[in-house]
Amino acid sequence: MWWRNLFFLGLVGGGVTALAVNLMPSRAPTPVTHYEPSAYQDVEFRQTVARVDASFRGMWADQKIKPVSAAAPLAQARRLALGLLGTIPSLEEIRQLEWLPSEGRLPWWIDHILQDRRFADYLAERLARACVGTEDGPFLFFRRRRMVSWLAEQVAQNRPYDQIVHNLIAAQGLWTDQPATNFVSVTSKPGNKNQPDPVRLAGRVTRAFLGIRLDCAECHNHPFADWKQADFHGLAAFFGQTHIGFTGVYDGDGEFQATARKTNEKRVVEPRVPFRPELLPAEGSRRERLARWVTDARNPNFARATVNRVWALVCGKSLVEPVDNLESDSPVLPALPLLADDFASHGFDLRRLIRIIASTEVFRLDSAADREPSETDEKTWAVFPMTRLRPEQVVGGVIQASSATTIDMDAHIIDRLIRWANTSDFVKRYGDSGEDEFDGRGGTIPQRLLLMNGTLIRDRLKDSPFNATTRIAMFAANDARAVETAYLTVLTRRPTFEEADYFEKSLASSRLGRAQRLEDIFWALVNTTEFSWNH
Amino acid sequence: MPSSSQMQRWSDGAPPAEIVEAIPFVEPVPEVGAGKPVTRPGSIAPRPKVGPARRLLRFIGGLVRVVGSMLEWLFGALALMVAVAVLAALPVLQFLSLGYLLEAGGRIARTGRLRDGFIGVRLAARLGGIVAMSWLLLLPVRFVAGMARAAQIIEPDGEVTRAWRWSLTVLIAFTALHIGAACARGGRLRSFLWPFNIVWLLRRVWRGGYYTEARDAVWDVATALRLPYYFWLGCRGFAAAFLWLAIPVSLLALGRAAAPLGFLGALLLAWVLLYLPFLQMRLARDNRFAAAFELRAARREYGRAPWAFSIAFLITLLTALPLYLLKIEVVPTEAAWLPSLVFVAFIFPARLLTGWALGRVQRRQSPRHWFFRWTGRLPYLPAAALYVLIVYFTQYTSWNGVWSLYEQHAFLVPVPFFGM
Repeated sequence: MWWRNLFFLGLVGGGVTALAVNLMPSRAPTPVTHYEPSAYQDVEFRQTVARVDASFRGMWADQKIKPVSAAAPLAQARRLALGLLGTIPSLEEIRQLEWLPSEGRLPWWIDHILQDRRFADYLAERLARACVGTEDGPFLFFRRRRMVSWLAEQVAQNRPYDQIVHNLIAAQGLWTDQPATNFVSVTSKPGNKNQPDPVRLAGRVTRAFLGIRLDCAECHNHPFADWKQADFHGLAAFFGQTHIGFTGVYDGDGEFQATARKTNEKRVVEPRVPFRPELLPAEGSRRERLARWVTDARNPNFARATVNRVWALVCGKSLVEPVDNLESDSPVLPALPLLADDFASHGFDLRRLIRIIASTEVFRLDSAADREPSETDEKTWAVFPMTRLRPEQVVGGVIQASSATTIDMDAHIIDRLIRWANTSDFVKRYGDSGEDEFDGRGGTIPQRLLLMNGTLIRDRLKDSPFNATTRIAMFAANDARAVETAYLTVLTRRPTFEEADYFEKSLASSRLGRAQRLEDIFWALVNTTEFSWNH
Repeated sequence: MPSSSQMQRWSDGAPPAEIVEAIPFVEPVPEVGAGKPVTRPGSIAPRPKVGPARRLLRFIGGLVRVVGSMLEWLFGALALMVAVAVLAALPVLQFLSLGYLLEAGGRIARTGRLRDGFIGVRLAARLGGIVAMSWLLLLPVRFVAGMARAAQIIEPDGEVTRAWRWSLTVLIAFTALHIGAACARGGRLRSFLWPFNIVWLLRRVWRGGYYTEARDAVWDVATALRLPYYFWLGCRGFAAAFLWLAIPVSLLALGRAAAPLGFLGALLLAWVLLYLPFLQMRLARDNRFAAAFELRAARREYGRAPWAFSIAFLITLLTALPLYLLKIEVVPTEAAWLPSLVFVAFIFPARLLTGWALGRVQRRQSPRHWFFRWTGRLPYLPAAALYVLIVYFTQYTSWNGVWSLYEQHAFLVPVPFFGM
């Protein structure tokens, strides 16, 4: 009989407990995630951060530049959220952050982001853009969503980046059960019997993984670099035996033939690498050998290209511009090889790299200066760069700003589906920047109009018990708290004295309801330049 | 009520007085013209004449009851499908879904009646109603919880926040008690709509003995669900089907690397498909694991109902094929039950028909005329060959690629992907 009692009491007690746990909010904004202090206290970790800081200080001293002061912690948190999650911190997360003691806030915030599934999904999408662009690809042979899902799994498991890239270059099989092969199958063309294009693959490998625009030498010798056409064709030849058949992507027979532009003569090209040939292994299929050469820890370009790209993600601007060309006119800052060496010597750990970047003094600098920043200030990172947000960051920010609670994987499935639908629609209308997402672009009038009058803005800011505007109007103790909460929710900072004074007076006006006045304040904040920029 | 033997004893005369007294509805019937009351032995006194208005009311009442019963049955069937779909989307609990589908077909195979395949519809209607009404009643609670959470974030120490928190606590307590009391009163729709269930519950508890009554009632409902039985049946059904499918599907999967292996796998799979639906159903019918491997017995049974077997076979394959479209893309885990619902909706009729075909076997002891046996075989091989061909190519479109070949939803769990 005891089992009957156990079953009955368990059912009743379990039901009541489930209700209470799921529905009752916690009294204090205690963080639900934890960070591992040892990751930040590691000796080599701190040494790398110190060396990077020292390299920048050395540059500033040489140029006789005084860097600006540190940014507010919330500004730093906003940068990380935008760079790694594609959205701004929620009010809920800000409360959790400020509940912690000040010295532990940033490390907690970094790890909070790294543990969030949204980070894996967002970083996977960014990496996919670098690898396969944003095109839909050939029907049936390319499954972009499958590939992004696979990349997200790899990032979530913190798989070493060299292994991920190795898979992308050398994987065999079907694009469904071996999603990494989509890197190859995306280049297949119906006009070429659905076979992959070695030329496009060579271009993607060099840009995405080596940070060199070797494809500029496809038709002729590179105008400004040492690369010759033969170097490019030699790299393309590694994909000369790659085919697509019933078994999916596989390595078989065949040779890559380059066509001379003037004579249309075809000649067989042997595979060879453009530099560090001693790193190319002798054994294995061509793609296997290329993959091992690219990801070799002694190949300086792989680690540097990755560091440059991750730095661009976190900071909004790469160390060397453009992000896929380490040999541009931009000077290579000493921090790049320092970070690259640490990245390569620690197993190509992406999370470690992100932690290091976010812990540097440069990352924490303010974007505002008491003087007009000069070109030298910007080139030496004496002031944090201001960069225009990408479309998915704008829409992520708008959607999060309309909610006091965090819209993450724990949010209701309907909220997440609505977010996904809104994001897709908004990005389409706003204009997707595609693979050149780190190129600085100016804003357009349609983008401005979309933020001013778009359906998303209207729906997310209108008076509704589900929107932050109405909830702040209902729960804020007074007008000062309402204005402060609005600023925290939208701009991730507190208002200045002048701003607070202005908007409190606006709220005190009795002509409109409080919710409606807050809706106007939200609209104004969303349409500020500050909201649409990373700073 | 008098027993039948008592009824026979007084067939020739009036029932003894003590029996008349004991039967409250035996009314004296006046003899025609006699003016004296007469009670006929062993019969109920005729009802007094009813006016047309009352007849109409009774007819409407009866009609309402019939319509209500039909609606309850339909709701129960829908609730059952949703429950099976939700379980199918959960790892391990998926075997419950498979067990239910097999048992549905197995009962039809035992009795020969199609209606016996709809097991527990009325119970599902009751439980589904409880779940649906509880979900509806919790909607305002969730809204208030969202507001309280937002208030806690916006103004952690505010008076309004405290007020919302208290309101939420009271609302959770009241709603939980109301739902509990409604369930205690039978879980019917009217119980959930009645606002004073808590008063009833308190009075019932005050009277005493309610804990034992409630505990035993809950236990009876739980045991009536027969979850261990369905789970075990599902496990055995899965194991038997997987044992049959493992080698052919593995060879088919290897066909990408070596074409002859793929060809052999295709032939084997086509051959297995000819028998597997009925072998699996035999396991459910006889509740014996070995019944799933008795090929000769299955062939003999085919001879006794060849056309029924053919129809069931064709429907099994036909209903399974369109579901491969739902394997192309994966959905979020929380919404996994939605495609599962489509799977269950397609596969359930196939299982019922397979059980029906086996049930037809009981009607004959000898094989049918050769004409029926030979014509019954005609669609088998073409259908199986086409099915195998389509299944082979689904690895090029399905989310899991070659692994999707193992996710044979027609015979294993009715879900697009395992372990969702």
